[in-house]
Amino acid sequence: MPKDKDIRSAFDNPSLGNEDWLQPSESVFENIEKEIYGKKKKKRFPFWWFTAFLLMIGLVYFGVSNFTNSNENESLIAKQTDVTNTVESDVQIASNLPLPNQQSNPTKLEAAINITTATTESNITQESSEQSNEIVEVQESTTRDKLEQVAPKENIVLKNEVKEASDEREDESAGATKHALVNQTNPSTKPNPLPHKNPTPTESIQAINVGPSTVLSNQKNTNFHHPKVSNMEHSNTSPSTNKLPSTPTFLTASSETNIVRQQTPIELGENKKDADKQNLTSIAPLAIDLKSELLNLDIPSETKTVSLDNIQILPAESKWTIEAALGMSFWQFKLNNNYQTALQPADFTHTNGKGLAATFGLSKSISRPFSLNSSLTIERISFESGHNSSITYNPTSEAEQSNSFDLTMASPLGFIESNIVVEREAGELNEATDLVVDLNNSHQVSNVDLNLSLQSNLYQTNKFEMLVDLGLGVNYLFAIQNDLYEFNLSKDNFKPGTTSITADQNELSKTRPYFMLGAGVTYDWTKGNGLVLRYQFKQDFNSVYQSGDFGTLLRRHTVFLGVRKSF
Amino acid sequence: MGFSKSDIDIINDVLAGSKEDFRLLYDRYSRNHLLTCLRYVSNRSDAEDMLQESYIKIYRDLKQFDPNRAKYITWSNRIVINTCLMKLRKRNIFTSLKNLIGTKNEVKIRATAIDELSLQDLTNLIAQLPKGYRTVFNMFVIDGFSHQEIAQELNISVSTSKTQLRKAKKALQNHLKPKDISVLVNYAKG
Repeated sequence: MPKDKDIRSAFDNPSLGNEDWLQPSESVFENIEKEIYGKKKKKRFPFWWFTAFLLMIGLVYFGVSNFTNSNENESLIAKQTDVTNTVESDVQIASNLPLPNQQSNPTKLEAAINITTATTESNITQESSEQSNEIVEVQESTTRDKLEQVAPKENIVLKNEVKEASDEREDESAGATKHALVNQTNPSTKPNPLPHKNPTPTESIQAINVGPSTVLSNQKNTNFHHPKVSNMEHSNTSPSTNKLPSTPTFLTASSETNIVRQQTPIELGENKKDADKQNLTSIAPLAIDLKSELLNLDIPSETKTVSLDNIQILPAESKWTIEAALGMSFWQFKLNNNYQTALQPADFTHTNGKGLAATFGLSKSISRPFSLNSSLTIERISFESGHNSSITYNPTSEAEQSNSFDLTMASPLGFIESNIVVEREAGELNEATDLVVDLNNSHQVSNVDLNLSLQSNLYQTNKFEMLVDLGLGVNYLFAIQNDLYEFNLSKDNFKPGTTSITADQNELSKTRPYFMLGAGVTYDWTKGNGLVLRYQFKQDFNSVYQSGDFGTLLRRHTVFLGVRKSF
Repeated sequence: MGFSKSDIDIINDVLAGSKEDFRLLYDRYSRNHLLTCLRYVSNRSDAEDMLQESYIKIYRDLKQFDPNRAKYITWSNRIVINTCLMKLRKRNIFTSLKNLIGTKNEVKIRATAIDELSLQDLTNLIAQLPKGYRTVFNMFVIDGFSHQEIAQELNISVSTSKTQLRKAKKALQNHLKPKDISVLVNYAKG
């Protein structure tokens, strides 16, 4: 009596030398060899990681280059280019030009230009402090004659200005608080509380306030200070003049010519940005001229120009921005080779997903040009798939000339179980008939994702902004709906009946992390309110469907158009 | 052919990078492995695909082979079986259009009892079984899996495994000539 062991023993013979029918075709080993030795299994080049890395490098580069040109706490960016007669490297210009505060605070534009003439090396520095108008103080260790020699015409003006300033200073020393000359636009400005003591005998200090109330002071034995900077350390080359705790900016007398040229009163009316721009314009050539004249007193007195076209005043960067947008989402299903190969015989086809997406985002600027974004996105995606399958219609098991079949169907997201009813036309059917069934499914799926990204401004103007995003997030797939909406049969005497889905995909990886690359442009139609157009590419780190060697990776492309509001 | 070289020596040489020894290993056991594949998948083309895939896995896992725990043929055959099972699970019920419309290979049984069947006939006989029957039959009868293990591997219940086996034996009986029925009936009952 045959037992299981009889059959087992039939297969348990390790020597099959005579069984030539078991000899695999030569192509089998060739393929194995090719796979193992031939093409050294190429390590999958982490393309997306590499891209992300490059993008990050790019962001950092832009960030650093932008950051060096702007102070992190400032909201006004000035660009100066094409400035001719560039002074030597010891000229330092650091711009720190805040936007005028809205409404309550007066315009603040600060610059300090410090030139040390005693060593014939000059440093021109624009410095910032949190609260001050522009202060330019001029100190010279040379004589006033030198000043007059360099620019006699301008000195006429200078003298007048100096006289005013001197008078003002005297008044100030006497305890009279007169702001008008120093800072006419800043009602909160207080006079320097520290009186000058023991002024130096040299005519070394001149103070010029370039800005909202530009003032030039050239007085002997007197330092003229803007009250707001009175607490700054004085850095006069003459120890005897270091009486004030502030650090005024010093300017050689010979440079006053140019300073005077900039003394045209700048009106700070409603258009404060223009005023700032103008002030900035006045500072740049001033610095250049100061240095130039220190080095070479024969430099012509023509004003060095800085084109306003090269100066951009950008709006203040808001700290918080909310954004709401609607868009289209496109899903690419990347079936791996094993899955594709396995489904190929069944003529499997599928479309990519399309659908609507809505997003709500919140971003916070961290330091120019970077901001942190977080957004929540919901998508509803539809796609279709179809393939052939085989059934055997058995007349012996039919009921009312129909048979029902349980079928397993494929989709990009895995397998679905279904039941179909096949009906046959009236007539006799004596034997089982093989049928090919052409199955067509539609699928709908919802997805919610939460991401956190680092955003950088690549380019910014008053109204437009170009952004790039790099981030990470998490997806969650839900509300999966499958519908076998149609099937066809290979023989005419059979026709499709009812269909039903008995089980949805059950091997889905519903929660998946992903990384995101994005780009966008914004347009602000009013301050703080704008439109935003974004493109985002998101790729999951792991497969949305994975079963053994079968897998499907999901890539998503989303385009959003929405509104944003900044605070 | 170099058959005198032991499996262990060959494996060590393969691990050292010898392509020739890998070919030697393949030549020595590829028929056994193809036979296993043919038991699990009914057509030869698929079986050779399984064999190819299995050998790639064998090569990659070769360093994990422990001669103290199992013979190479046992160890490698398990890899082949696992590969076949994985493919069967994935392929599900899909059949190529070609296979659907193509003719069914009828098994011509020349023997009157199972123990008289040639290995090829017996393999073809098993290949004629429906996939579910065939898989359980192969696993339980030939490859020595328990019903518990089969249930775990195929994600079915133990009772389903037993039912499938019973039906497989009954189906085998139907494939034999009438005069062989008694043999198969006995076998099915056994």
